[in-house]
Amino acid sequence: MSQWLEERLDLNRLRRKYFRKAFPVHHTYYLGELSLAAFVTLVLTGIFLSFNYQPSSALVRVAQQDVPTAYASILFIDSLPFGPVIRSIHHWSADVMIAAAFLHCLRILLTGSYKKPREINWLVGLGLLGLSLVAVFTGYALLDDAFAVTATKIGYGMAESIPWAGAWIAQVFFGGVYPTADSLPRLYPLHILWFPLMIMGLICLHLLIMIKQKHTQPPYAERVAPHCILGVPLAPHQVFASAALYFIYLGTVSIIAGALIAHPVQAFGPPGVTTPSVKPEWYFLWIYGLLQLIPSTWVIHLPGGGVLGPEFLGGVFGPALLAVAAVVLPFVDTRRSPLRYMELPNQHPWRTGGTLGLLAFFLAGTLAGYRGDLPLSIAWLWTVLIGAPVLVTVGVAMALRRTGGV
Amino acid sequence: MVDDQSHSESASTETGPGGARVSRRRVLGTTVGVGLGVAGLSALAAAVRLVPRIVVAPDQEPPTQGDLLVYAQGARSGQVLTLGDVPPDAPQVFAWPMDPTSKVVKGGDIHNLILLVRAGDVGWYTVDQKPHTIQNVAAYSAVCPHLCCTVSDWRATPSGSGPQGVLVCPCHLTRFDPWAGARVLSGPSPRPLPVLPLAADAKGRLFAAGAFLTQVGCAT
Repeated sequence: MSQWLEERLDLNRLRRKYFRKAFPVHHTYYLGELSLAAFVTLVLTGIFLSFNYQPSSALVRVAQQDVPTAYASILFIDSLPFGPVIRSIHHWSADVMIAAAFLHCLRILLTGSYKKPREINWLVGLGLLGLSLVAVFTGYALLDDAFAVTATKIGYGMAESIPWAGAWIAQVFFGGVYPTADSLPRLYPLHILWFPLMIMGLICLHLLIMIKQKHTQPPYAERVAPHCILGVPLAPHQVFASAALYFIYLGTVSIIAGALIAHPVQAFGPPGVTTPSVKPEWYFLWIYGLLQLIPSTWVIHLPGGGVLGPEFLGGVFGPALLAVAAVVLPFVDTRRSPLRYMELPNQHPWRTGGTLGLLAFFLAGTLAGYRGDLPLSIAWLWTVLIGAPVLVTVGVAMALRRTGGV
Repeated sequence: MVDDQSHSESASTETGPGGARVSRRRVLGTTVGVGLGVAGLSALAAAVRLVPRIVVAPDQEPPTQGDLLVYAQGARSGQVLTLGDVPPDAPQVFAWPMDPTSKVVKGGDIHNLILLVRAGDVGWYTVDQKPHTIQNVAAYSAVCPHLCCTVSDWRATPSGSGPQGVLVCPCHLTRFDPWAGARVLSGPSPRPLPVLPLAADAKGRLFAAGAFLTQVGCAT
């Protein structure tokens, strides 16, 4: 068999060229792979879900109650053997995909691995993180329960708040002024086809560029074997390690999904006239917090009828500012010679301080999301939101400078 | 590169009908350019129709003068509201407008959702708000101008004399003053809730004395 294939496909050449690719050994190098593992799981469980889901908000009668068809189809999925487990694996995998991608991004940031020659792959990675967040948001809407409609309405409002083009953008993606009968037929193909396709394309690009440019290496590699790529070959070592990681992941997430059914739609119920008091997923909590902190008086009128309201400043402007900073970073923080070894965080006090300051900002924003549950005043939260990142950045940078980067 | 240039200058130029020299590269460039332009314009025409046409069904018409108010939820959903159905000093009651002749309940658009509150004393209302109320009952749009959530929550303020109770949007916790034109007390909403002027007939049935005074919804 292998002989038959060999004569036709020249597999030995492929093996020599790619299967011997060296993978440096470091535990943080598995974060990207973990994100990929979660994505693969999302696609597989998504196939099962898409076969049973109906993207329609037309009302049907279930148990003496008029509910949207989509909501009823979720109840149907939950009634299938392993249905709720598969749906929960899909939900928790989305959480893992975003968490792992974020940590992967943080590792790149802390070790300066975005520098020349890897600027392009940094941008591709940012695109992947952004696309994942948008894709997961379109998935929110599909459940069509009271929670989903509230969350999607807020997403619609944020898109609509973009000056000048907002109404057009929002109505194209949400099929008119959300919620309408056209909304789910727009969001469904985006969630199950176009965003996954774009993510797959970018993952391929991400990996191809990585193979072409080679991994950054842990600093010890320079001492052990200078000017060489130190690591284990793709086949068989890395393939075994990756497979092990995947099965550990799948086993763990299955146990979690079996024990904790994600998003029980019946608990939230079909959408009604009132809005339930709900919080978004943890990765959107900081935006939710920012939305609460912007006062009503922050309204800026632009020429041509554009308006920047509190919902734009909190929900769109803040995250967009961070995105722009991330895109610009590798072109500002540059170096002459190509980076081959990871830079140590303690030798770059300000970058490390800034990264931890960014984490402090996310945490402070998240804390603001709990304003309704905790006795926290808006003024106090503003102080923490601005103070904590500055303090952490300066504190960490000063501490690292004093120790002289040792 | 040098080869390329010599080609374009000698071999690939021809004499056009008028005797002018037109290069092949130019003909090709113009053709591709015009083609892309036409394709782009066609794509734009298709893209414009991606915004669905807004069709307003009878149950989506905004409330107008004379519309009766009916319960929007609960066991009495769809029944006409009277003055006695709105208790003083209690959380808001949600209502849809209903066309009095066709009996169409205008619940097809969430922007039509109305909330009703009743003050314990007429003195709670500000001078501006008082003319739009009837026997201490006031009506507002229930759609938060921040991000279009329903202003579902009610916070009772410590009892005592004077105005009590605050309307709260559960999404980003904007607080509205129900006795002063639903002005924003705190939180991110850029505007107060739109006021619906209210009246009652001889049987005590509540009806709209006019349309919402300001624009409903969260669009900026």
